[in-house]
Amino acid sequence: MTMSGDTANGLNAAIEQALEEVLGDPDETDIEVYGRLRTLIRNCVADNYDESDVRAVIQLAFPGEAADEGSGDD
Amino acid sequence: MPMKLRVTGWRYENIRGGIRDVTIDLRNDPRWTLVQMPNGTGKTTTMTLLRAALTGVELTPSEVSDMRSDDGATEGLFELWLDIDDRPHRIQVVLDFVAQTCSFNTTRAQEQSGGSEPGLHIPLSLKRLLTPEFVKLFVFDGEFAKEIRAVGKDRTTTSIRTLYRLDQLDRLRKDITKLVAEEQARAAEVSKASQQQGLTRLSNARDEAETVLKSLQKKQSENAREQTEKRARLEVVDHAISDRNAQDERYRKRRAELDAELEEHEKQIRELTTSALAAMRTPAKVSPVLLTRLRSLGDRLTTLQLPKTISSEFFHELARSKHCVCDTLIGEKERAAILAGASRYLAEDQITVINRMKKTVRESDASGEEFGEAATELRKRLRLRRGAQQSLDSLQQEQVAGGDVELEALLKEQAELKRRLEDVSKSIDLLGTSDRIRQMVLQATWKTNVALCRAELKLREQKLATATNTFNFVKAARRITALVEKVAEDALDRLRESVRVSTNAKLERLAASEPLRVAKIGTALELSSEGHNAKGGVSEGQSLSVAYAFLTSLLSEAPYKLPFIVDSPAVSLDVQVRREVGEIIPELFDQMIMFVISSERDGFADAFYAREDVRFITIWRDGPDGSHMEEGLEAFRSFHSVEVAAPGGKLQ
Repeated sequence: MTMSGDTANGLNAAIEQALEEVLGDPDETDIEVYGRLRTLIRNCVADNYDESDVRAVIQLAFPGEAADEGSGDD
Repeated sequence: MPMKLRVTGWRYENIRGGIRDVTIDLRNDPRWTLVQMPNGTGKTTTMTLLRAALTGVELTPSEVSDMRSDDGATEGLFELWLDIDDRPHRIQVVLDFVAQTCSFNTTRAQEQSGGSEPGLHIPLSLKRLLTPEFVKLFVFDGEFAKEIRAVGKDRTTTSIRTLYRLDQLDRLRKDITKLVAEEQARAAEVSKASQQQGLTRLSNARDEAETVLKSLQKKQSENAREQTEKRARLEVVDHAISDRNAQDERYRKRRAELDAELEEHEKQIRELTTSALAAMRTPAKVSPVLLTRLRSLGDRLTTLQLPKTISSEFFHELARSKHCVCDTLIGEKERAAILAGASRYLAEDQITVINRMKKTVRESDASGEEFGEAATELRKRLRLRRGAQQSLDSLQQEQVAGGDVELEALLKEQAELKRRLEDVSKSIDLLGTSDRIRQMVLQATWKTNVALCRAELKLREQKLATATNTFNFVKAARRITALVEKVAEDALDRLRESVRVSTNAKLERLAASEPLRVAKIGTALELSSEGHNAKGGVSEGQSLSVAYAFLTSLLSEAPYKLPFIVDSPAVSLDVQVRREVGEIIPELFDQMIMFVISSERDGFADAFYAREDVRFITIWRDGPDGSHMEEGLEAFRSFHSVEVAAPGGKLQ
C-alpha cells in the first residue's frame, strides 16, 4: 500500500493543502498567530498538544495584537 | 509514520460451527489469506467476533448464546492476535454462556507486567478510530455495500473525517470552548456578589441560545436526511406507478404520451425559468417603460456630463461658488462643511459603476419585452403542464376505479411522500435561510432559524464576555475557532474529492462497460444519474463494485495501515467483475484476509493461485461437533462442498 498522500510529518496532503489555503498568506500582523496555529493544528491531528498550547494561540490572537480578519464576525 | 495494524492470527474455543477449537496462525505474515469455509461453518460468527475484539463493544446476550458450541460448554473464547506498530497484542473475547455475557482481556507482550489485563488496551488514537461503524468498513461483508450507498447513515463523510483525523479538529474546537468557559468562570469568581446574579442570568441566556442552536442544527440535519430518503423513495414509487401503467395494455399508450408531454413541458419550463430570471437581472429587459426611462436617464447623465461632475470635484467647485445650487449664500461655515463632506460623495468605483450602467443601457439591443415574453410563455407552459398532469391523474384514477389495488396504494404513498416533502422543504427553508427578506417573509425568529440563532448566540456571548471582562479572550477564541473550522472544511472537501476521483478511476476498471460513477460524496455515496438503470436502482453487484472502489480508495491513502478483512467478497459479482476485483483490490492492501465459499473460486480466488505470499486455508465441519482445517493450495482447490442446503464438505 502506498502512502503517497502523506507528508514527512505524517499529515495527509489534503490537510497540508488546507493549512496552506487558509493560513498560507497572512497579513503582516497575523504572521505569528497563523504560524502558531498551523503548528497547533498539525500537532492536534497528531494528537500531540495540550491546553497550554491552545491558550497560547488564543492569547496571541487578542484583538489589537493581530488583524481582525477571520474573526468569524458576520 | 502511519500507524500499522496487522492481524497475526486468531483462535476459537468452544465456538459453534466448524470452528469449535480452531487456530489460525498468520505470524509468517502472508499478504493475502484465503479462508475457504462452507456456509454454516462460522464465517459470520468470525466476522462478529473480529469486530467485537477490535472495538471492545460487548456482544448482546443472544449473540453470546448463539455462539455456544454445545449445551455442555459454559465458557467460550475468541482470541485475536494483532501487531500494532509491530508490537504484539492479544485480545481475548471471553464468552460466559451461562450468564450470557462477554468481557475482554488484553495481553501486551512488551508491557512491564507482560500479563493479561481486563478490558481492551490498544493505543488511544487507534481506539478512537475503531468505532463499530468504522470497523465495518475494513471488516467488511457484502451486506454493508448497500449501507455505504444508503442515505441517512452518514458513514462516508464520517469515515473520511475519522480516518484522516479531522475529528481531532473537533476536539480542538471543544478545547477552545472549554477554555473560554473556564476563563469566564474564573472572571465571575472574582466579581462582586452583587454582580453574581447578573452574570448568572447572562450565562443562562447564553446557554439557552446554545441549546436552541444545537436543537435547530439537529433538526436541520434530520430534515436533510428525511428529504434525501423521501426523494429516493418517491423516485422508486414514481417508477413503480409508471410500470404499473405500462403493464396494462389499455393505458400504456396514453400513459407514454402523457409522460412524453409532461417531460417536454418540464424541459420548456426549466429553459423559460432560466431565461426569465436572466431577463429579470437585466433592467433593460424587464419592461419597455423601464428601458425608455433608463435610456432617458442615460441621455440626461450624458448631457449633464455626469457622473463626472457629481463626484467630489463637484463639491470642490461648489465650495468655490458664492451661492449654492439652491441659491443659498455660501459662507465660510457652509464652505468648510461642503469641503469636509465632499469625500463622502461618489468615489471613483461608484463613478465607474454609473458609467458602466450608462454604457450598458446605451449599447443594449434589448427591446424591453424580453421578460414579459418569457413570463407569458412560462405561464402558458405551466398551464399546459397542469392540464397534462390532470389528464395523467384522471388516467390513474380510471385505472384505480378498474380495480388496480396496487396502483391505488402506490398513488396514496406518492401523495403522502409529496406532502411530507413539501413540509420538510418548508422546514428546511425556515431553518436554513440567511436571506433577511426571506426571514421576514417566513416570520423567522432566533428560535426557528439557524442564522438568526447564531447571531443571537453571538450577541449573548458578547454580553457575557463584556460583563466578565473576557471580551478579548472570547473574540480571539472565536477567531481561532473560525480558522480551525475553515481548515477542517477545506481539508474535508479536498479529501472527499480525492477519494471520489480515485473511486471513479477504479470503477472505470471494475465496471468498464457500465457508466457507474460517483458524482458526489456526501452523507452517502451519490451516483451520477447515468449510473442508474432505468428504474433508478443499482444491482447488488454494482453496489459491491462501488463499495470496493470506495473502500480501497478510502483506506489505501489513509494515515493508518489497516488490514482488509472481507466475507464472501465475490458472491454477488459476475465472473468478469470478479476477475477485475481479484486483480485490482489485492494490490491496494498490505494485508487481506478473505473468507470465501467454494463457488467464489472461479474468477476470484483463482486469481490468487499464481501469486506468491498467499496462505490458503480450508475449514469445514467434521461431524456434529468437530472441525477440520487443512492448509495449502491443493486442499483449497480440491475442496467440494454442498452450500446452504447441507453444510459440510470433504476433500477429494
